[in-house]
Amino acid sequence: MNNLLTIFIAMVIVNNMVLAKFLGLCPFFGVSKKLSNAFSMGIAVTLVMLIASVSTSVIYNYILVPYKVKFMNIVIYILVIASLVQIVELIIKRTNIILYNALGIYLPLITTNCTVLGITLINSAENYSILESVVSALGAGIGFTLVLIIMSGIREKLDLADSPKSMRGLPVAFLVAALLALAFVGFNGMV
Amino acid sequence: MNDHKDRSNSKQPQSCHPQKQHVKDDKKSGSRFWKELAKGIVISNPVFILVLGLCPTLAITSSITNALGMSAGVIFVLLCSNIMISSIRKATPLMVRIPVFIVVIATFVTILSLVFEAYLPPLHKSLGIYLPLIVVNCINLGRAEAFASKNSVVLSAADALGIGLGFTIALIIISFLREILGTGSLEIFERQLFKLPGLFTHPLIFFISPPGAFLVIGTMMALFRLIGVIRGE
Amino acid sequence: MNTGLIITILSAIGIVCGILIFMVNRFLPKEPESLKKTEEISGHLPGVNCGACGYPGCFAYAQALAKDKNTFFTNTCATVLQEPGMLKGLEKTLGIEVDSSKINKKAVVHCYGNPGVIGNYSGIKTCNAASKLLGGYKECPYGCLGLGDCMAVCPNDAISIDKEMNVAVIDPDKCIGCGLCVKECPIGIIKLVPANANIVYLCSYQSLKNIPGREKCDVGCLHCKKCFKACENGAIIWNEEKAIPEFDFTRCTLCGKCIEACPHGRLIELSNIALKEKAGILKDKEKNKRR
Repeated sequence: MNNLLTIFIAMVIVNNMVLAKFLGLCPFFGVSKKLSNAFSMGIAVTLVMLIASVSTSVIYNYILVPYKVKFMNIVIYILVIASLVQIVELIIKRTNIILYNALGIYLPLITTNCTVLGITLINSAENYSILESVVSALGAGIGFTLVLIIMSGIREKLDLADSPKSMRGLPVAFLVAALLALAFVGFNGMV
Repeated sequence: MNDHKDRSNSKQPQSCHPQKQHVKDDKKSGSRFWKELAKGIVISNPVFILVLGLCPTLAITSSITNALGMSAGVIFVLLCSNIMISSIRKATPLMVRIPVFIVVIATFVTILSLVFEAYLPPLHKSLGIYLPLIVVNCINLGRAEAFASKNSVVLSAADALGIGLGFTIALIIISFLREILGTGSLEIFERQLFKLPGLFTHPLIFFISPPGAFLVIGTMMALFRLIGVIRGE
Repeated sequence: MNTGLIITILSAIGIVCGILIFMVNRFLPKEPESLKKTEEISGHLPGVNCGACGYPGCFAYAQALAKDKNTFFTNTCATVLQEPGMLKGLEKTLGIEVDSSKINKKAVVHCYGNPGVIGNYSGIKTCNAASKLLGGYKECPYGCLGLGDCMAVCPNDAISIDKEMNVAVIDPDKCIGCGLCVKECPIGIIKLVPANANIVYLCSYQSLKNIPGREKCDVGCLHCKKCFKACENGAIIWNEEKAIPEFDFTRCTLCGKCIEACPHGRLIELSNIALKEKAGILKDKEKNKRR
């Protein structure tokens, strides 16, 4: 139990996916202009992460390790994630079409999202069991959503400020991310 | 109060949206080869202009050794996958092209990972999970989708080389800055090149850590934009 | 034998994924028939997703219309009303008849603008923030702050800021009457008027809000009632409580007597709002010279 809590907290703030591991930067800078978009994206990514984590962990622990073909993980994980995103997209399209239209292009974008593949690779690198993988994925997803929400809140205000012309848009967002990362470095050594 | 409408002056990051390129039929394919090559380095620099492939850029630029290793890997994967995708472009049905591209890229990344693990173990260890993450690096998929699936094998190879070189140059610049400021010395493959006396004793560790990466790349981007603005683009 | 193992594992996982996708596709409910009608309707909508109709996006609005076509009258899409092509298509698809002259509205900023300020404002450059600090930095507590919150929200680029007079100006030709700016203005000086309104009254000062030391600007409404007395057709009604004129446009003949009568030039024709040289400004300067 203690171990699970440690993993969870570590994933959310100490080893935050975006600010400490640099994964998921594309949606971080692309989607984070409006708070509602950021929240939807975060929830969608967390969902995909959870399901992907469970399935890849099962495959890793029961197929790849016993048969000693660990190097196959890259190709297999990406196959599983791509199919998963396709299934999630189908389900959303058939059951709740308004949500589907709202999410729009973000859904297929999750396939090429570093975060999802990243969390599956982290799980296999650390040799987590299935339960530990689930907790780790949950923590990573929540951490990602958290940072996305913070960033979008700041960016909404940042858009109104008077920045120098060459800094407007992406460069100043990077500087804000630098400050956020600096704040999160303070969590080092917590676990 | 003044430029409310100029807020979105900066280009939207391309991220994983590949651009559409129009191919003009040119008789001298040789000169086009060099043109595509040059384009990848300066005009369509993947890191600073197209803003693709951010994830590995920030993570491994803490030392120039890692940067060189990663860029060599990316050039290899980009070249091989571009050539392969370009050769099978006529045979792939439209609906399944993205999964096909991804599987091709993943195969080459697996090959790369195994080669590194066998011949360069310390590099493999320091790159960690960012080596397999070349698969979802937007550069590969973006160039495959935008260029390789529409152009001949030779041109795709040229584009891959150009973009790869641009990526390398960008990585080298960033890691150079970060390593000099962060450790005060420059080390390539465990051979120390030189060290700056003042910085070596009191290095600015900030630049090696994650916030430093964001700061450096943000400043470099602003600089590139400024150059563009000065030139009048 | 290792190659065989790899190929087997890869193919097995590929086949499992394929079967899963196939099964999900097969066993989920099919796309409903009403989807076709919704898509047909949404083809006639602007697709701007401004939200002014009260629905989260044009597609949601199309869904509501597909369910009940009278939604168009309770929650009118202002953009469609302005575009005859879209309106006709929508009328045909839904089977309704729309009399656009009755519903059309335009937004007007009820402030003439005055560059006078009580101090230098250096806070966050939004009207929302500025209005919370002492009721705004303009001399008049009802004055437009000119920081462009309304401009940012307008889906049709109809609003611009007149920098000389420090006021937001809405171009009635471009305004579609969606009402987003009305909600956005923190002082509440943007109001919707019927599109066939001829004259608008550009001052929001009401002596109801007595902030000590904050009077209206020196060219604000005097509450002199001269416009009310000048109108021969009874088109102007004087609101005693707020001490401002109100208009009944069915009686207005656009004779222009009220415009002449106003000593500070606060009345202006709706079509003249976007013009740079407002007639009123010259009038003020001449009158001030005479005094």
